[in-house]
Amino acid sequence: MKKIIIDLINISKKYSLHHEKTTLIENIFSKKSKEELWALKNINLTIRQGERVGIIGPNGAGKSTLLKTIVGITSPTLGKVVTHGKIVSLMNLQAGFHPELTGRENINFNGMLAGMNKDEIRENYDNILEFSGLNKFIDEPFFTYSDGMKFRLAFSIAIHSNCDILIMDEVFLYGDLEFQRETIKAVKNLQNKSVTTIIASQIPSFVWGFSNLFYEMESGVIRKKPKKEMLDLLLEEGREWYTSFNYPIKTILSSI
Amino acid sequence: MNKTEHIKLYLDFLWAMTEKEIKARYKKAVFGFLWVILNPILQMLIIGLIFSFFVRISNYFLFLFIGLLPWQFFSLSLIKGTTSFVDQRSLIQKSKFHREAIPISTILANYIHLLIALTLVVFFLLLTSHIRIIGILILIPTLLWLLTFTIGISLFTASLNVRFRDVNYFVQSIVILWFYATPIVYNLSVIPSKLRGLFNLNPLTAIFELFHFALLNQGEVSVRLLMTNLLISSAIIALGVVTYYKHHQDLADWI
Repeated sequence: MKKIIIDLINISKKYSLHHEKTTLIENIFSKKSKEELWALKNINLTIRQGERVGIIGPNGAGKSTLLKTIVGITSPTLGKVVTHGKIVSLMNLQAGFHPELTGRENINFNGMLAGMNKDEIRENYDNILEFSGLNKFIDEPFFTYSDGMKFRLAFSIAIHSNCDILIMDEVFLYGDLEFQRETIKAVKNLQNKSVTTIIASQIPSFVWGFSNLFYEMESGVIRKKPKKEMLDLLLEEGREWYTSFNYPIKTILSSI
Repeated sequence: MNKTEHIKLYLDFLWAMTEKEIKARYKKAVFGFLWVILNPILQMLIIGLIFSFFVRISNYFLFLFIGLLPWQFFSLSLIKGTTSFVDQRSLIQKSKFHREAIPISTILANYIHLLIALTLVVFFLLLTSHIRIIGILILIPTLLWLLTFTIGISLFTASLNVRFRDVNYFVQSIVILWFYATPIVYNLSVIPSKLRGLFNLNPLTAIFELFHFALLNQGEVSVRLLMTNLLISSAIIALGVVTYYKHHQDLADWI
């Protein structure tokens, strides 16, 4: 058995819903009872090195909260998170970029947030530039980029960051078809190098393409989803069009 | 990784953040550094013209300028530092890192400007009058005190501002009042001795009097003032650090 790289022990996460913006004044003068929401409910999850994990579930099921907890962006209200190795996340297109700086200047900075040191960034600079395919746009300020371009840059930095764990939310869908193909190739490449990947989406076919170990989330609870059930989902009526993401239904069926 | 590597990585990161802060600012301002020096010069001229009728201080314009430079650093840093977590929420959503680097780098970017401006002032003073070695020796710990105090209080307001967005407005009002409560347009000798005790409560009093003393040999710094100011500074810095550590793990939940 490969070594455990992520271990979540009885994780729960509570959010208090603030319907209006909280202000200090309000807080002092009124004692409103706050509504609470448990976004994660007693989650236990063990992930070993090199595993390809896919998490599906509807909006608001807690997928993103779970990923944020693993990355360490937020901390659980109860329970313990143990992770080993360098984690890089792709969850939000603006994350880790400064809008006023150019793409080139942002590489330095985003690379550091992705856990690279100066030397690693310098060594990988040209590769990051080339893979991103941004060419002359690399010297334009980041705020002028389209979502697709933002994704290209973020993804390019992520795959060159020499990480142990790659965590992705649905940002993937921003690349154009050609870049999607390159993206898929790059992710598979990392997986072959035994990088652990965790991919969350509400689209089963999307997760299917990258993973071989599935979980389903529903209102903060996680459960293992057997492959058989995943297939049922893929073949569910009305879902066919989703599978167009580079995975035609025929390919899926033939891969069983 | 061992400890020194960790520290080196952290310092590299802090420097990259500061560099980013400076670069981003210069993108928006063609004259860049000129604004840092121009702003206090304009303020000096306006305040100087009016207050020179009421305040009898020799070299009043120079006196004003020496006070306005660190004041500009302090007020800008505190205002920008307070909103820094909210302004730079996109970084917090990317990965786990030492989040205190966000307000600290905002402050360091201003600090570098202050240091450059002060170097120019010291050169100017060297050419025009004789500046004392002891003055420079006093200037260094004073600058460090100002920096630590600014970081401490900004950590406090920045952490609170994530929860309560109106903290920002409180800070803006307080900064305006604080300007007049600090010996910048006047010095302590114009204050009646009955009120002196109040000035001991403002930790900026000693810092600004030390600036005047170091560069112009004006102003008075009693041991009593120094001690109470140091004590209050330390308390505020401690409050800032404690508040930050209480909130730093769930900053992402509020922005």
